[in-house]
Order: sequence, then structure tokens, then C-alpha cells
Amino acid sequence: MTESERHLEALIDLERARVLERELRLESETLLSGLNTLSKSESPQQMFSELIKVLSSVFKFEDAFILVKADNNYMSVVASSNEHFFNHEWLPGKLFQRVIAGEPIAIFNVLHVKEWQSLPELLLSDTRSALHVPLSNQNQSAMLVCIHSEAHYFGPKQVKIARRFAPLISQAYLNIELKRSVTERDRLFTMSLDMMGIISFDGKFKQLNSAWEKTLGYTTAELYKTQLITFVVPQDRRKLFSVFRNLDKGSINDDFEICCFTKNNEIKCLLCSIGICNIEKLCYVVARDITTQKVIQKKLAYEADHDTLTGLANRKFILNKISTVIQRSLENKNSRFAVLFLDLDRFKIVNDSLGHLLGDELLIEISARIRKVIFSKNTVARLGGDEFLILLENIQELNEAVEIAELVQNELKLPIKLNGFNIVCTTSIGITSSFLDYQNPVDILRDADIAMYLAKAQGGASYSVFDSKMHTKAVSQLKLETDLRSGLSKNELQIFYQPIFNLENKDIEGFEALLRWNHKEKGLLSAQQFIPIAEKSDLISILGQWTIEKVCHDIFNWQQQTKLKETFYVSVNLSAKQLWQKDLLEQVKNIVNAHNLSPSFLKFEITENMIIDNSRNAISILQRIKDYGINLYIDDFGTGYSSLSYLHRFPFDVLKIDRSFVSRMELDQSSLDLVRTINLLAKSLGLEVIAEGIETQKQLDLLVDMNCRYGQGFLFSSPIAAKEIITLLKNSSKNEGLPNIVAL
Amino acid sequence: MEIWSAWSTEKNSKIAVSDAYFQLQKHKNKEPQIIFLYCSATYDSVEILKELNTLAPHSAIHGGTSCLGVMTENGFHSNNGLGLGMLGLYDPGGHYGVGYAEITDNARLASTQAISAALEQCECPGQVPAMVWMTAAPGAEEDVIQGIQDVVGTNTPITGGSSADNTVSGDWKQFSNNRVLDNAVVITVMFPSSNAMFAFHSGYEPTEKSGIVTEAEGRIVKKIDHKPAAEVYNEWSDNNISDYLEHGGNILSITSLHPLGRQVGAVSEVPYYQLAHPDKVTQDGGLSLFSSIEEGEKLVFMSGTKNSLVNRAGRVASSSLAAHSTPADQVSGALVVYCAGCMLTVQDRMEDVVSGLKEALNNKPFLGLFTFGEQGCFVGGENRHGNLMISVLTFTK
Repeated sequence: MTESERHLEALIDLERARVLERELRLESETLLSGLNTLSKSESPQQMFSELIKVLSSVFKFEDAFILVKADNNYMSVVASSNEHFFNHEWLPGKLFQRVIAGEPIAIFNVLHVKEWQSLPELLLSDTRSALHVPLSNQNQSAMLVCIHSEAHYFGPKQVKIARRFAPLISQAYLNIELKRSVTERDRLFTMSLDMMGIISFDGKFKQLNSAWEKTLGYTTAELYKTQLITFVVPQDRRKLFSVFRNLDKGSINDDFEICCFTKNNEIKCLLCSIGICNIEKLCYVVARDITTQKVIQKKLAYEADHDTLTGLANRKFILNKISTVIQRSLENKNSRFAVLFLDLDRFKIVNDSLGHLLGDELLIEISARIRKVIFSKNTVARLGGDEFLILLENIQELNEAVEIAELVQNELKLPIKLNGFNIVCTTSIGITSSFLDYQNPVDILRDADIAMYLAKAQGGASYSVFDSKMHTKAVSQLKLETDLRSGLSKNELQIFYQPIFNLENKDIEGFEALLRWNHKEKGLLSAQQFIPIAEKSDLISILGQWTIEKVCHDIFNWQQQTKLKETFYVSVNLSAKQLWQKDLLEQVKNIVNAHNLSPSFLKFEITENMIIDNSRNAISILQRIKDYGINLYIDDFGTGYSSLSYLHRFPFDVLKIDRSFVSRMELDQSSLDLVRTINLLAKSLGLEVIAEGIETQKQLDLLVDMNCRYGQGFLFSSPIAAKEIITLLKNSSKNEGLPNIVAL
Repeated sequence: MEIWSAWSTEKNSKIAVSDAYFQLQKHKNKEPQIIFLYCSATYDSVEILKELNTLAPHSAIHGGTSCLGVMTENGFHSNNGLGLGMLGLYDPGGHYGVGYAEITDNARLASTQAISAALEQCECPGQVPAMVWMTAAPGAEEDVIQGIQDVVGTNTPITGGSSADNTVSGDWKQFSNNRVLDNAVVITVMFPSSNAMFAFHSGYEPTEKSGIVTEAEGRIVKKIDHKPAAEVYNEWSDNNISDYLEHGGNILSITSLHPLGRQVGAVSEVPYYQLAHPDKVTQDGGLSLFSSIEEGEKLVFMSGTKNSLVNRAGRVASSSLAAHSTPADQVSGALVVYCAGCMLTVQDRMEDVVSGLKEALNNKPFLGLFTFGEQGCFVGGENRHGNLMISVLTFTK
């Protein structure tokens, strides 16, 4: 080789080297310049598009995507120039693991590669060559994959470029990820409904999102100019100062509630969380408007303790209160209290007549009137229905409670105008107090209730102060009630029958059924001794039904043993509860039918007081009973408050003159005249008359004289047991005269 | 990556290989990822390979027979035609796979099978290797290159040499892991952890004498410019082969300095050539070459000197670095394919060849083999088979 040839060769080598260097430099400059522009992109997607553009200026490809390893070890696409790649997950094999470890790898045919073989046909059909560029960093395993539809497209040259520039591309990818997380963070920051921001320790906003504006009503510009403390209500400012002070001392974060003024002077409650920033004297704050929540909480708390209709305290609240005052009073004898138990008189009648809506209005008005006379330090509660409780605290003497009771009575005596009606609704009040050294609220309520019932028994619109005798009586009554229930199931109850005679011919026309109780300890008790107790509970209805069943049963038996007159009957006393029982007639029909009797064998006796207050409904009920075939007696006439004049409205058949009038007949003229008048009036109304309680011949004579046709009483017979009736009936039918039966 | 060479000229095959292997182990007391092993065909290749597999059971082995011996940075190793050399690559971060296939009637297909096997062996199916190294039996190297490119494409440089013997009598062998083959293609796919650079040159310059192949068949040029090829060559070579025109005959040794070249490409308008070495004059006046020829190709009468052949090896090695802008101090080792014909021509100056290579490669280990055909990648990216060429594959650290 000559010298010139050597030089030529050297020049050629040099030229080749220069060409190569120029290529490398161009690649480097293009790539570097392109990667620098990535940082100016607005979004991760834009950055990815820029990255693709930059790389394709150095080597060509058709599509590209970035794969990132997820927690489940699969790799998924996070950015792609072809949307179809997004839905596929890749399970890394040896190839991907080598790439993740940092080795760029070119594939001449993806069909030979395990990781690619699971790709859907749609994507696989358009892909043959692939270049995998590692993007992994300490936080993430990732790779960029460039693809081409031709096989053998990528070669060692592209692998070298990838190897050379992988760190830069990794950095660009990191920037994309950072941009993405910043973009997401920014979006989260902007979109958040919670208030978010950065503030300095002196409370000045450095950064805030739009939620502050929406919540407080100030513009962002106004917020930036003002310290947070300015918006905080005075009572919460100290709390805020304390938070910042703690942060300054080294506390890392804190949660607290404060209230703030809005621009239009509303108050908003905020739940705040504050945490130290990495930058000195700055902290992150997140605040949530919990005003509505607070209102709801308050409302719920209020509703938990208050009656929704009247706004008074409810049972739960006042019982808790009573527990508290009991405790106080036990600790301090001078701390006295009293409880007033109110039960509205005849409220049910008003409610049923006027309807529940008006009934509610009535309760509201009554509540307001009660509240009017009670000092705010005391508590008024509605227990439910028409029952109220008043708790008087710090009283000196019981008389204060009495005074309050009288004030309440006076208020309620005034009419209440509702829907054109003037309604007077009085109340019965039971009073008890800590002077009786109570230990628990249940006992107080019980005793106040007993006292209230006593007041009620006195006719209502009154009060009664509980004493220990009442308690004894109440206990005794409770025992009696218990015994009565037990007695019912043990056949301790019996029906006795008092004959009703025709005063002219002394024939037995019928009988009045009288309930007796053979108490195991007290002996035989009359109805007056236990019926009032039964009337306070459901027992009265049970007893009433039992009585009708027993009477029908006895009539049936008598019928089997002797021929009963067509006009034979037994009258049964109905209680008020029975009368107003919705299915009374149904019940009676079932019983009568079950015994194969004619309803005419039965008569019902009803007292005046049962029908006075709700006459219209009473008439309807009574008429239905009568239409069925059961005649009706008005019992104990004269003892109620009804007027004779409106008796004719009711479908009664017989009027029974109360024994009290009969017994006084022979004592004074006015009583005699009264009975005579009742007799005459009844007759003029088409009613038969039965005189009750005839005990003397004189009484009988007087009654016969005034043409009173029927009567009953000890003169003729005391009530007799069912099994002895048959003898009586048989004798009566034979006209053998009245048997000499000793009154029981 | 670390590369170490070793050699032996021991007569005993087993001793020769174990001797060489222990030289490797001196430098690095563990098995290399891959061992390139070349030796004279007069050794017992089976014995050698068996022994090496025993010594390095986990190393991939690629190799073949080399004419008269080998060269390393330590010199030209040939002792009465006996010489053995190995190059060990210690590259845990890289991947190397060796595969082979017997060439029966379809060298191209065999080649595809061999490279596929190589990719499978290193668990890199479908992946584009940084470099392919081949050792094939002479005769169908163009088809072998095609087969490789059928699989990995044309972007991957292919380097290698055709196995040779000492007497051009067909005793050549190819080695693949534990197999000794005589008509096969052995391919190594390389995924080194560092860079691999290459250069493929000849030591010859073109002359003004040229002609068009007007009749050819396989590796035989029958006519140039419609005239018997041997006559045209004789004319170009100043009657150098006159004695063989009438009856034909082996002209290998007298045509070593004047191969026929075909332009493959140009760099800065300076053409580069793929060479074909005429080895025989046929009965009908044609020329047999060691590479395939196509009708219509322009053949250029090339000219070389012993000096150019001596100096060329170092130049080619330098060129492999220069073309990739790699300074010599980055070299970790090299494989050098030196045409056996060139070697035979400059045999007495082989130490100069070695010196040139040493200097170019910064005294780093290399293994040179002497082949009956060279494969390489031209600067324009063309993978070709040629004769009287020098192919260098250099690795950086």
C-alpha cells in the first residue's frame, strides 16, 4: 500500500467516523432538545405525545405505549398512541424481566415471544416488530414499547439508540408521571368540595381552592388579603390561636371545629384538619362545611328529647331529669322537687268526636297554656296521648306544687276555640314530691299516677296529693286485679241471679245477672268491690264477655230442664268499655248463636253516664243492639246527669229506678214524688219501669200504688245461684208461690 | 465483560485443549459464558470437544477447524500444522446461544434452523441479536447468510468464517457445544452486555481491469465479456495462469494476490468490494471461485501485496473501532477471521500480522482463525460472504 493510499484510507476512516459522530450528535441534540420540551407540556397525555414525536425523529415506528407494573404483577398500559392497547394486561416473562432490569431489547417477530402471544388477535395482526426500552426507576417498573407492522424492523442500531437514551427517556417518563400526579393533584385540589389550601402560621392564605369562595362567600382576592382569624367567630378564635401555636411548637397536625362568618353574616361550622407543610411556617388546611350536619344533629338531639307535636320535653327527657333531681335531693335534703301528673279529662271523647287533627291542635293549645304558668327553670313534658308531667325543682314546700296545679286548672277551664267549637278540656292532676324520699323516677310516676286517678275518680278537673295510704290502697288494688285475673281462670267467678218480679201477680218475669267473686281469702265479693278495678284495665271487657257467655249457658241449661216463658229474660249489666267495643254486637251474636238462643232472652242494662257524653254514637250502637233483638234498660236512673227530656232519643225499653230513690220513698214525700214522677214520665215515654232495691212491704205497696209494674229486691229474693234457679223456675211455673230462699 | 484468550500447540489433543482451558482459568476462576474454539483439522476434534465439555460443562462452545493453527495476541500458533486457540467471554450480563444444523440439500433452511436453535438455547426467541457469529462448512455460505437474515432480518451484523483444513481436502469441521460436525452451520447469537463492533475488509485494491460476467453457474464463472473467464483472468494477470488454460488445474496459491472483486457499496464515493478467490481453472476455461457469482455482475481485477495483506488485519481492527467511534482503550477482546489464503501467502510474516492486530486492539486478547471463506458486515450494512477478506468482531469492556 502506498503512502497516499494509506492516507486515503485514513481519510475514509476519519470521514466515516465523522459521519457517525455527526449522526450521533444529531440524534443526541434532537433527543435532548425534544425531551426538554416535554417539561412544557400541559398534560401527561400531551407529554406522551411529545415524547413519541421526539423519538420518531430519531427512529421510526408506527405506534408506542408505556407499560407499568401494577401491584398484581401484571403490566398495564398507562399511555398509548393506539387506544386499543389500553385494555390488555401483560404478564411479564423473561423478556419483560430483562427489559425491566435495564436491557433494551428489539424483537424481530413478536409471534415468537411469550409475552406477546397472549395479545388479542386485533392487535397482534398489526404488530410484528417491537422495541422495548426500559423506563424503570426505584419506584416503578416500566417500559416504553415501540412497534411496527413489519417483521425485522428494529435492529441493533435502534437498540443502541435506546440504550444510549434510555436514561433520558426514563427521566422524561418520570416527568410524565410527575406531571400526571401533579395534574391529578391539582384537579383534585380544584374540584374538591372541601376547602383546601396552604396557609402561613399567621393565618394568611398562600393557596386556596374555589371551595372557600363558595362556602364563605368572599372572593378569592378578598380571602388572600385577609387572615383566616378575621372570619372566625370570637368564641372560636382562641382555639385557632392555640392550633397555630402548637404547630409552631412542633406539633405535626391537628383536627378541630370552628365557626366562621360568611360574607352575608351567616355562620358556618367547619371541621378543619391542619398539617405541617414541608416548607417552613406553612401548613396545609382542609376544611369541610358541617353546618347542615350540625343543624341536623341539633335537631335530632332536640327530637330525641322533645315531643314532636307539642315541643314539650318527652318521656325520656323528663325521666332523666327526674333521676338527676332525685340524686341531687338525696345529696342535699334542701333540694326539693315535686311532680305533677296530668291526665286530660274526657280528651278521648273530644278526639273521637272532632277527629285527630283537631285533637292534635287541642293538645298543642293545652301544652301552651300549661307552659304559660310554669317557670322556665321547671320542666313540662308530654308523656304521650293526653298525659303530661310537670317537674318543679327547688321548691320549699308542697304548697307550691298545689298552687301550680290550681293555676293549670284555671288555665284549662277557659274554653279553647277550635274550628268553631268552644272546647273546655280540664285535667285531673296527681301530685307527689321529694318529701316522700323517692329513690327512683318509676316510683314517683307511679304514685303521681295513683293520685291522678283519685282526682279523676272525684270527677276530674281537680288535683290530689299523694300520700302513703294511697299507695297502700293502690297496692291493694293491684293485688286485687292480679287475683281477679287469676280468679277468672280458676272459676272463682260466679253469676247470681236476682229475680225481677211482676209486682201485680208476683210472677218472675226475668232475672238480673249479678257477678260475684269467690275470693280465696276475702270470701264472696260483690261486683262493686272489684268491677271498678276491672274497669281500669282490659279485665272489664274480659269479664263482660265471660258474663254474657255464662248467662247464655245458664239460659240454655234452664231451657233444657224446663219450659221458659216466651217473655223470659236475663238482663246483663254492660260496662262502658263493652258498650264502646267495636265488635260487641258481633261477639254477642256469636255467643247467642252458639247456644242456640233467641236474642230476646237477653237484656242489656246501661247506666246513664255511659251515654251522656257521646249520645249520638251511643244511640247508634244501642239501636243496632236493639235491632238485633236485645232490649235495653237504662239502669240506676236518676244517679247520672242526664235529663229525662232527652231519654226519648235513646232506644231504651225499660227504665230502672235506682235503689237509692226507692229506699228513700218511705222516708220523705219529695223522694216519693220523685219516684212517682220518674215512673209517670217513663211510662209516657213508653218505657216499662223496674224499681230496684225493694226491701220493705211499704216500699212495695207504694210502688204498686203508683202502678209500677216490676221490681226487684231483697223483699222478694236476694240473688241466687244458677243451679237453684231451675227449682225456682219450676215452682214459679207451677204457681206454687215464691220459695223461701235465704239471701246470700 | 472480560475476555481472555488461550492457545496450545501440544500434539495431544486432550492435553492441548486442557492446557489452553487452564490458561483461561488462570485469569478468571469460573466458567465463561461462551468459548470460541478453533484448531487445526489434524487434531482429534471429538476428543477436544469431549474434554472441553468436561472442563467447562456450562459454557456454550462454538468453533471449528482453522487452517494450520490460530493466532492470538501472543502470536501465530502453528506447530507443524498443529495449533489450537480459544477465546473465553465472561459476560454474566449478556446472553449467548449456540445452535447448529447439518447442511443437507438446503443450506438456507439449515441456517434458519441453526439460528432458531441458538435463540432458543439462550432463551431469547424472537429477539434481535446484537451480533451473529457463524462457522459453516465451505460451499453455501451465501445461502447460510440468507437463512440467518430470513429469521432475524438484515439489520443484524453477521461475522464469521468458513471452516478450513490444512490441505483443502475437505477435512474441515464445525463445533457446536458437544457436537463435532463436518457439513453444518453453527451459529452463535450474541446479546452482549457491552458493545460489539465489526469491520469487514480486504487487503486488496481495485485495478482498472474489469469485466461483466456473461455466463456463470454457482461458483463457476464461465465467461467474462463473452470470453472464457480463465483467459480473461490470464490476460488481466499478465499471463499468470497460462499454464493452466489448456487443461485446467488448481490455481489457488498463485491467485492469492489477485482476487476478483465485486463492488458492494461506496463510502464517500470510495467503493468497497467483496472478493472472490479463483481456486481452479475448469476444463472448459472457466474459473472456480470460493464464492457464488451471478451473471451480470461486474468483476474487478483486484491487486494486493504481501505488505498490504500483512498490514490490513490491523487496519481492519482499527477500522472496527473507528467506525463506531470507540477508542482502543475500550476494547476488551476480539475475534479475527483471516483468510487462509492470505495467511498462506504471508505465512512467514504472520508475526507482523499479529503485531498489527495487537497494536490496533490495544494489546487486548484476541483469537484469529484462518478460514476458507469469510463472512462479515460491510460498512454499508451488507452482510456478505467473501474470500481473501478480513473480518473482525471487537467487544468493548
